[in-house]
Amino acid sequence: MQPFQQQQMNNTLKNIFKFFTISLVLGLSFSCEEERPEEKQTTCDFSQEEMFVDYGALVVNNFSQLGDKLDELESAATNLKPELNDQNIADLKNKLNEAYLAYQSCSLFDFGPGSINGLPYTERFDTYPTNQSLVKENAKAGVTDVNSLFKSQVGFPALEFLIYAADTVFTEGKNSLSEDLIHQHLLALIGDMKLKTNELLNEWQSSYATSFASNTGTADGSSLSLLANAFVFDFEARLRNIKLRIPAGYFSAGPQPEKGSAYFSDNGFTVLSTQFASLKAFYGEGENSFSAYLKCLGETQLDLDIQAQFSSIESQLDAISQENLTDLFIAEDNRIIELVNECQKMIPLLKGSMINAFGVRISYTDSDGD
Amino acid sequence: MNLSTLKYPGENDVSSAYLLSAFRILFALLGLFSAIRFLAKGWIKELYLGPSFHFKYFGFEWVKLPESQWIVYALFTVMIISLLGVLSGWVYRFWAALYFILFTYFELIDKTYYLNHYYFISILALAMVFVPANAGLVFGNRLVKKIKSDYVLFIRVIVGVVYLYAGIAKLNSDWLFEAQPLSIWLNAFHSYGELGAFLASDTAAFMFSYAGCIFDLLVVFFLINSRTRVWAYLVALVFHTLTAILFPIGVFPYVMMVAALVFFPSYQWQKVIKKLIKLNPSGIYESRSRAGKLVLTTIVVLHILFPFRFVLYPSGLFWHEQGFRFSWRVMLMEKNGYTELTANLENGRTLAISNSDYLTPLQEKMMSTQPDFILEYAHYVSKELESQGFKINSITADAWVSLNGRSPFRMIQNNVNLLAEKDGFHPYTWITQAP
Repeated sequence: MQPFQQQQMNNTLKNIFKFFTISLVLGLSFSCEEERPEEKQTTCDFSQEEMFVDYGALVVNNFSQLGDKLDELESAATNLKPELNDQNIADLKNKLNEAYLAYQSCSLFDFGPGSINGLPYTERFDTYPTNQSLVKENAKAGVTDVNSLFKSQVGFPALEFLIYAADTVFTEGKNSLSEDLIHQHLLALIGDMKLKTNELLNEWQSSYATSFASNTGTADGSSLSLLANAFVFDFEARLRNIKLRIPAGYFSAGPQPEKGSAYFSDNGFTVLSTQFASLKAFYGEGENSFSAYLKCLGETQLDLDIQAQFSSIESQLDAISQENLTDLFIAEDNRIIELVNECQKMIPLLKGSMINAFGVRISYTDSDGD
Repeated sequence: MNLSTLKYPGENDVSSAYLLSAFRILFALLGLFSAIRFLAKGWIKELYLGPSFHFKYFGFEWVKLPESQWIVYALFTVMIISLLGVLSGWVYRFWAALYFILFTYFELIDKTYYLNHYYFISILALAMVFVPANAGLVFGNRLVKKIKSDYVLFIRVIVGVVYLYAGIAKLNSDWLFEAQPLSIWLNAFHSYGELGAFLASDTAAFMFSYAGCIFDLLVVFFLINSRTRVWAYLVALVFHTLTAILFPIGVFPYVMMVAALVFFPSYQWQKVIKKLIKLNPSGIYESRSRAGKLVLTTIVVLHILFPFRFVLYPSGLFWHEQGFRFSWRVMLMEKNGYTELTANLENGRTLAISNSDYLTPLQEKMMSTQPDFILEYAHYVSKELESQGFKINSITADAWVSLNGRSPFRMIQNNVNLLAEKDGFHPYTWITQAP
């Protein structure tokens, strides 16, 4: 290098250093002078592991209950034979409702063992509206290979349609339910759900609960990320959109009550309020809940806001507790709009603030850079 | 940066030919690696053929995918062939131009997939068309011709500006005083033992932030200086390897590892190449296009000026992102958002728009945090709904965005009819003040 150029370069370097040192010093002194907003506590004694142990226990408890209810449903269905009467039909309906309500506390847990062949098990338990004509055909043909059917032909909605709409769907009315092929299909549908529930439960109990508890941190795929994403999804998609906004006609030219949950049994409100109660309990109950974790992260105000928003939604639900949900959807009742609005206000709190505070991400996609 | 410092004493027209010819080969290999990886990951199908709608760059709305998926695959294949052409050095300028056109074409299809390093490859590919990088190392030909050593400078400036600007962009309060967004990203390693705990700590976030900033700002100056060059390059290797391990940033680190090699003097390239292959100097100059230097100068000037267009917009660059892209603002922010559109119909009803009906998860993620995406999406949805028979009065957005770990704020004024707003370079008045 020629001396002149060397000299020039040294000067350039010196200037860069000077500039950088000065800006650094200025920057640091500026940051010291500035009154910093109240620092959030970033570390606390809270144990993620204990939280996951508790949530794992909740999963096991909820799926056990669902399993019990499906057992009862199965015996009620078996009892339709040899002779079908008003009482065993009523019992069957009753057991179906109970099982569906038990499921409302399980839909959230569709990750880990809840993912069957890469798809959430919930798809095959609760896809509605059900495909009425195909469900009817399957029943008449006595299909037993339930796995070969599409998700819109199986699960609770298919059962509900068969059991509640039998009167009008089949030529022999509700008596058809004890007809050999239809009865066989009914039992196959229930049996398949029982099987999946037991598999899921076994996997949680035998191994997954342990690895779930130890999978701490905030990375994609960590237990916190799985739980938080599943919780937000259960609230946003299943409760707000599928149970409310779709049947209320938010996405269509008019109300579509037939797309609501428990449409044939007219049990929509109970199902809705049960899922809501389950979400609220998931968030806030117990000393190792999301609520407790947020408080420990120094987000007491956020926790209060979320709790308050749960209460607001609850009041709106109370206001329609005596009503038939389908009628409200058809009438485009203002109370539904208010209920949806209150649900809407929850989204930024959960999907934005809570997810941020936890430090997890809401969606993950493979990427090629920034 | 003084241009004359980028030309080292001892470099001559022969050694420069060695440098650019070898760089051509590395560039083609890198392009091949990136393209084949893209194909192997199934991204043609997932990113191009899958979505029913593509977000367009302003001014490039006319760049469309062909109807037939086979033509898409064929075009991608031709792009790979053009890289082989560049690699071989035969009819070099034709293949280099074809590669630039096809690579940029695929880039322009959907701005959802915007990446700084894709843009970098586009610029470099354009520059490569106009430098005589086929003076030597041409397949089946042992001759090496001469080229004007100035050509090397253009490439050095293009690479140097990327580092320097990436460093300048890091001089912002989130990066320097909050260690954001690195703090959020590093936190993900929380559970990986003691090393993870360290990475997730504030100390690590600040260390990485400052190290990254200082590195980007200074590495070029140390690469220019003969006494520090080797060390600076080793530091660059460590830096890029670390980012490749820690963050999902694909091929970017490898692109820069190769690009930074141009700061080694051409006579050193020549020395290395001579050990590998014996070439015969022909003594004549490689023919070059007359417009070459003019085009190269234009590229470099735009490359230097274009990133500064952000000064023409109101403050809150990270929030409104007008003037954010094409500026070497790499890994500067973590935005997460939730955006939903509402269509208000003529009959007084409203219609909520379900994003998953129109967009892929990745498109939805990008749309949710970037105002120009939201605007384009609103116009698209309106057309879709009208084709379904809906009569639409207006479309509004409920957009909540969290920037670098802050609480979510409303990003789009929710009373503004987006259908009445136009895409363009003018400042968008319907974006809220940055939090």
